Amino acid sequence: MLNTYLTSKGLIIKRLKIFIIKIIIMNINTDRLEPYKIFNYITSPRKMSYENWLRSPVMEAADTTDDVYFKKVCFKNGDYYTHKHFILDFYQDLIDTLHQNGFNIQDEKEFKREIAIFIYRLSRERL
Amino acid sequence: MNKEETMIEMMNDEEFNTYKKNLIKETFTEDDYLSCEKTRQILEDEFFWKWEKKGEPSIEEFYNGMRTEMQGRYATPLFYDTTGEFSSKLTGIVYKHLKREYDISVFHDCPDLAEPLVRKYDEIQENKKIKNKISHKVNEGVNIKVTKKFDWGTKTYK
Repeated sequence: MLNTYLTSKGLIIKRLKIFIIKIIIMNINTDRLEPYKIFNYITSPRKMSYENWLRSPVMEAADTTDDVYFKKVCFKNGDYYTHKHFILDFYQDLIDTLHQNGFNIQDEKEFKREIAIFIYRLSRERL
Repeated sequence: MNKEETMIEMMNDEEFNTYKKNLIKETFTEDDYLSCEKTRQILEDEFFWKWEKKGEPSIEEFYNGMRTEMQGRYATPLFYDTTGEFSSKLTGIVYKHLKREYDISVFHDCPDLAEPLVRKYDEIQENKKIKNKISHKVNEGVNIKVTKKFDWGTKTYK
């Protein structure tokens, strides 16, 4: 009983540490950033924090013969494909494109942070 | 007229051009080009030109491909950029973070471009000599203190 308690307490502390490290590394204020001002376009208000949005699954439309519905995008193994996954894929493809053209980035950490914010401000939280 | 000057006098145009190219290649470093305002401007212009010609279009193409796919699937990422107007925002972020890696081969291919630097050649060499002298003197100063012993009686190093 005590063992289980200690293990779960250890896990919680570990997760908390990881969360704090992530915030420090990403250096992103967890407050909600409004979408960019888009001419003649109304954006929906932010309800999630940036951290929660990162963990939330990417959603897309799917249609059957009779109906259109929205689904959460998943990997083949059933795990959700989250917005964080999308950002990492986007970033890697962007870096590859730059390298192919003979360019390099000065400060990759800061660059990744700005790209993540750029995507966040152009994305919708859910459908 | 010394031996080298005579040799230069005897060269035809092609030989003189090759001689000039090699001299520029061997003499100047990237720091030298960046220290002269005019050659620095040439390097910066070349970098920007390469970015405009190769970098920017490829980033725009990549972004628009990604955005179109997301719009087509009616997906949450990049949902609000319906027309692609934010590609310039992205290229702005990328350009701001690019490592400034200048290509000095432009001066090797066209030595005339290095003319403003060549005109400052004597000044640059003189500055390098002064810097060497200063660092040499500083080292000598250190050496005196390290190798010689200070005699407190006569107040001199021995």
